[in-house]
Amino acid sequence: MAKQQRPDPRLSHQTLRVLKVFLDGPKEGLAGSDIWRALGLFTGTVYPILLRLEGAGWLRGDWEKLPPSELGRPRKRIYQLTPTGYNKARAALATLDVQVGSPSWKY
Amino acid sequence: MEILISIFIGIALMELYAWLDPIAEWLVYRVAKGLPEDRRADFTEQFIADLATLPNSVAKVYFAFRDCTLATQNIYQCIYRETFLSMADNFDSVYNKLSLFDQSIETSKARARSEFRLSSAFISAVDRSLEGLRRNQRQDDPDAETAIHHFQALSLPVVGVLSTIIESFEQRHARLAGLIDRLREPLAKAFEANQKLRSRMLNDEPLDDNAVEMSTSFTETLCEITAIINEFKADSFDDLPSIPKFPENFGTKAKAIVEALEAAVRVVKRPT
Repeated sequence: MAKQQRPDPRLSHQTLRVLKVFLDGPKEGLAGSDIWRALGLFTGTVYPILLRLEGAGWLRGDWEKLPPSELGRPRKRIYQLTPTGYNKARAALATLDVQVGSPSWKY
Repeated sequence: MEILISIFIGIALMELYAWLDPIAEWLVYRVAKGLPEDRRADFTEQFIADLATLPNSVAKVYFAFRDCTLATQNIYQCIYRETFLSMADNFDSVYNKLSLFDQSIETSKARARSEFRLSSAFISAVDRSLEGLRRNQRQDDPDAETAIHHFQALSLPVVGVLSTIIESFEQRHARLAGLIDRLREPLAKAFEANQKLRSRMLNDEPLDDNAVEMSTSFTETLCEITAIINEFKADSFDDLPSIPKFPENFGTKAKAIVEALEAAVRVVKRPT
């Protein structure tokens, strides 16, 4: 049976910040460490958010293709916005812009 | 002596420092044991990858000890929340289906009553007519007996089918309504628990014993509902009376019955 996807994840302040990093980030995606470092958050905050977004189908996580021996470091799990996630993240942030003005972390 | 102690401490510190990276990794594996088994390998590898991005060994140990511990707890709670939210969604879907089922039972009952009115009227008209014919039938009147018998022969099979249809429908309805009645109380209880649980799971505060207690109570009620449905399926589902088809050419048959009744009335009432 296909895994049931929850319709929409909760969009907490931190979740929106994570989505913003993805929207502004490179197309090839980001690893968990890129996100917690960019936002100055704990891994304990970032990973549950990534888990929820992935569960909702907004993000897709893939392990780096090359083995650690070739990379010279442990391989990372790279997260990317799915087309649904991209559209929904943009819509959520646009709504937030309309409601409260630009998010403070832009500055 | 002081020089020796300094050298010794220096060597010990260097040795300890060399051990910090493996200690950090060991800590990550140790901490990740607190994660659900199906997610453990994934997150352990991600933590190890994160560890490798840190600038020095002390930071790695600190990260493994503090950040990974927090992350493990939060991920565990997140999975727990998502599992229960998914269960709450499934319950909502089942609840809506059962509510629709309840409504459709009531609607079909009302519709059937309206549709069966004609059949019931037909059955009681046949009964009353037969009773009237028998009451007015003279003794030793073979023509009347033949006419009544003809009316009876035509009407009884149709009456039989109509009665069976009504009876089967009412039996089916009673059993299904009985199931809904049994489910009503646990469903209401689960609905209320589901609302509370959902709002608790959506609240980002760490889950405590109270939340676990709510989840346990909710799952117990779900088990109760499942048991009632399974019991119904085992006892009654295959055993529900099938509803026979409405008599074919009912209009033609009814017309023939009416004609036979009119003929019987004429024969019974004819002057001697």
